[in-house]
Amino acid sequence: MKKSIGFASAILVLFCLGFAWRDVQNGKLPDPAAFQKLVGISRPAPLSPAQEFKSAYNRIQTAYYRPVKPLELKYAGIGGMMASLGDPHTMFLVPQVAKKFDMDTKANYVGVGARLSTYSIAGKVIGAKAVVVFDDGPGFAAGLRRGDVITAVDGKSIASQAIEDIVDKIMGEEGTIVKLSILRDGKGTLVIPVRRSHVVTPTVESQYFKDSRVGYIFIASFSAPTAEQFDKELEKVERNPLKGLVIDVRGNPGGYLETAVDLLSRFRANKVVVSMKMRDGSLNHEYTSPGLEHNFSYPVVILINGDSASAAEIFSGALRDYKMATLVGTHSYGKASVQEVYDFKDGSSGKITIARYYLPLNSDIGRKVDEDGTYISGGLEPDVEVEPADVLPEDLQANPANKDSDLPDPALDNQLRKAIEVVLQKAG
Amino acid sequence: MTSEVRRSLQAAAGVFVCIVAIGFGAVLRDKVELSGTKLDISNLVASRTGTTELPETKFFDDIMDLLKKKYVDPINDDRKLADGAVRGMVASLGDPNSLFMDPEQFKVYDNVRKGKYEGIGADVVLVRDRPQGKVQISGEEDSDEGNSRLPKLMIAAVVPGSAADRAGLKAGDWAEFVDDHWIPNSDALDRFEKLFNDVKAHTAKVEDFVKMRKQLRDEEEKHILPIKARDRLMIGAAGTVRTVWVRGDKRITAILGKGEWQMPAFGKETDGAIRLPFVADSAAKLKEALSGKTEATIDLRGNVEGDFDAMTECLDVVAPKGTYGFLVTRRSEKPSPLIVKDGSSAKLKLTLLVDRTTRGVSEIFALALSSRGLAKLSGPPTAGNQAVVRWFALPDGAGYSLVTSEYRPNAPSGALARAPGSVETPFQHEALSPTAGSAIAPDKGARTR
Repeated sequence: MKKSIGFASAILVLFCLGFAWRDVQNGKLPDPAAFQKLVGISRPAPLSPAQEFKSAYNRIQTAYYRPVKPLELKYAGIGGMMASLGDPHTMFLVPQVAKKFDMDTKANYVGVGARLSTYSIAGKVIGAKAVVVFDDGPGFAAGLRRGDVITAVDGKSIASQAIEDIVDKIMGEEGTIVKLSILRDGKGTLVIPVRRSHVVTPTVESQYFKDSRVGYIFIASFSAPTAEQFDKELEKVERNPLKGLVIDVRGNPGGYLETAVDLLSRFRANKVVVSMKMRDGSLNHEYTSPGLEHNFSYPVVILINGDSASAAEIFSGALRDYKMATLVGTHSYGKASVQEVYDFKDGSSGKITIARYYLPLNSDIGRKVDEDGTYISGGLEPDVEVEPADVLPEDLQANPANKDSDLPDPALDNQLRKAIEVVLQKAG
Repeated sequence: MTSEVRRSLQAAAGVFVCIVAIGFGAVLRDKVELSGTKLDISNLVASRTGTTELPETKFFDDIMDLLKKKYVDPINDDRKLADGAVRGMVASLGDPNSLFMDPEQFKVYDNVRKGKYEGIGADVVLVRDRPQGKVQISGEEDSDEGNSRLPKLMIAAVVPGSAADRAGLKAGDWAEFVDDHWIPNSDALDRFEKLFNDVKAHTAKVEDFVKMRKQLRDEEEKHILPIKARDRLMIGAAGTVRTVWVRGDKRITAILGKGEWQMPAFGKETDGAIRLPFVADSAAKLKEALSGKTEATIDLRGNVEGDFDAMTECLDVVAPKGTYGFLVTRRSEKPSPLIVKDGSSAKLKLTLLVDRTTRGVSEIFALALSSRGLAKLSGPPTAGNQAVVRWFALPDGAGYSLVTSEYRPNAPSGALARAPGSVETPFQHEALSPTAGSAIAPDKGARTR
């Protein structure tokens, strides 16, 4: 009798072990709620977070009075979950956005090699204008020129379409042909066949101001090919007699930290770029590499504004901390964190903040906002502050500048004027 | 059989029973718990298997895990993540009547449904109005998709005696500034766009354009989202809030003291009309008040938040058995009839006092009775919002509202008779062409490729 009681209780213990095995596996204590459910105590256990999500997901689809696309709803939910951390840089990217983000950071894609913007007449979109045609792209080789307006792709009109959709149609598999119908100088319909190929987006552009003998380099983003492109443009600029250099990172949203480190290695070797504080509290230091230093024998001014963020701020802030540059413009965005991007198998991505960083002189440039999201502080403060002057939209200008380049003109850009002035002052 | 063999058999049986016990336990655990097992992140991350759609719960679990493992700060509150997901889904509907509410908001707005108000003492709602130049039918509200106009924060009703009432605010006034924060609105953007075009056509001065652009930029810098401005107006019982309201071409500036206010409860008014808020015990009180009567006036003004079920119970008190219209959705499903099951046999001559503060559930009540000739409507047109809104609570006290259907007095087939106050035919799937709304930062069109 005693024996069978012992045996029964042993069985019971083993049963409990099996029941709680999942918790044990996950290194947790057995969950009492599960046991309660087992013996039928019907205290309605609160929904688990996953159940809460699932039940709202189901309910919205069945109870909301309009049809809802399940995929979009799911993505909205995941987006909301990632946004709930209150960090504007931790976010979910739906496949379409993820693809674009990836192309932008890699600055490498298959296409024709042109930058397009919608072109409309009297408020009606009639096509896409090639704002820039990359010199080494397949479009340029096939005869596509800056200012051409694409009105049809493969014979199909693209009137009144969104620029993203137009771009989607023009891009495609490497080696395939896309036929672009072109409106040039407002007349004629030219059809240019272009063989799609790998295109590396120029992220660095330069110009030389003869009258002031100042060089100008614009960095659009810190993408994969940026450091190499910077070297090329720097060489171009340095072919001229140089009193100083203006590097423009206004509107530069950042990119790879590695690229910023690479670029800074042109200026100083073996220097701390940033100290990253990881989630476990440890500090990681990023250093510039040796052997890449370039001799900057002239003063450097960096132009920044509220849209200069992330790697652009690291680049500008570190150079100032090395006492190698003066910052001109308005305060930068103030992004003091590092993100990692995780690609999911349905094509979407998650961008997650994994660390915070500090600049070489230990400054925290983290952006502070009030509860309404209005900027309070943060970002790099410029050494010389210049607010941009108001410029009329092109449509309203009496004599719209008919420029060959989309680079800024000191005559129209007061911040650039100031930067040149400062660089000349430093040059003495 | 030797005892040895027997013992080893017993032992084998014992081991077997033990294994079964463990296995049974594990299986039962799966049965007991609805949600799936713990998953590895490697399932989520791109693999050779090509693009596969990820089932929602798994996706949610996996990304929650990923966040917990990678995010720079420790995440201790899974509930916050789940609430965030629900918030994201509800917000994606873009519907001014379907809203996520955190625990504080949920409590306050739930009280509002019972007539208990905080803040300035007005019911302020998000209303998406029609683009200018669009024909308006009697009601003014429209929640149609494809209408890209920014929602306005509009007063739906004012609590008598409240700060809002004493300041002379009225239903239909909409908020332009709250505590010096600008609430972006499409009217301002329309004016800007018009000015832009006028300057282009040389019928306006460039200086005016520059001035307005500067003003809009400055205001934009200190803007507040309508939904947050609503909280400032309706949450809290202490302090003051500075406001600017728009009524037609007029601006009304008011500094309003916050407090606690009560919408008049069920009861008789001085002129004998019965005030009928739609709350839990309304039907019983209405029945008592009407017993023995042959004639009655019900006041549905200032009646903007009500419970749908309480309303149908009241319908049951005053209307004979029958069908009183339909609840329609825009999903492919049949309209469900609004049925009065038992009904009343008393022949009542009913008059309903309505105006634009008769909205939602009370508007459905008015339409149901008047469309069947059971009541006379007295007053200006109603608000034009016959949405049936349901509320759902979440485990931590947060919650959300969802529009589950819209009321139509008639069967939605073929040419629909337009009832007073109804704004649109129910099965118009085509979105109205959206008007370009954002003109503050012109020329941002350049895109790669």
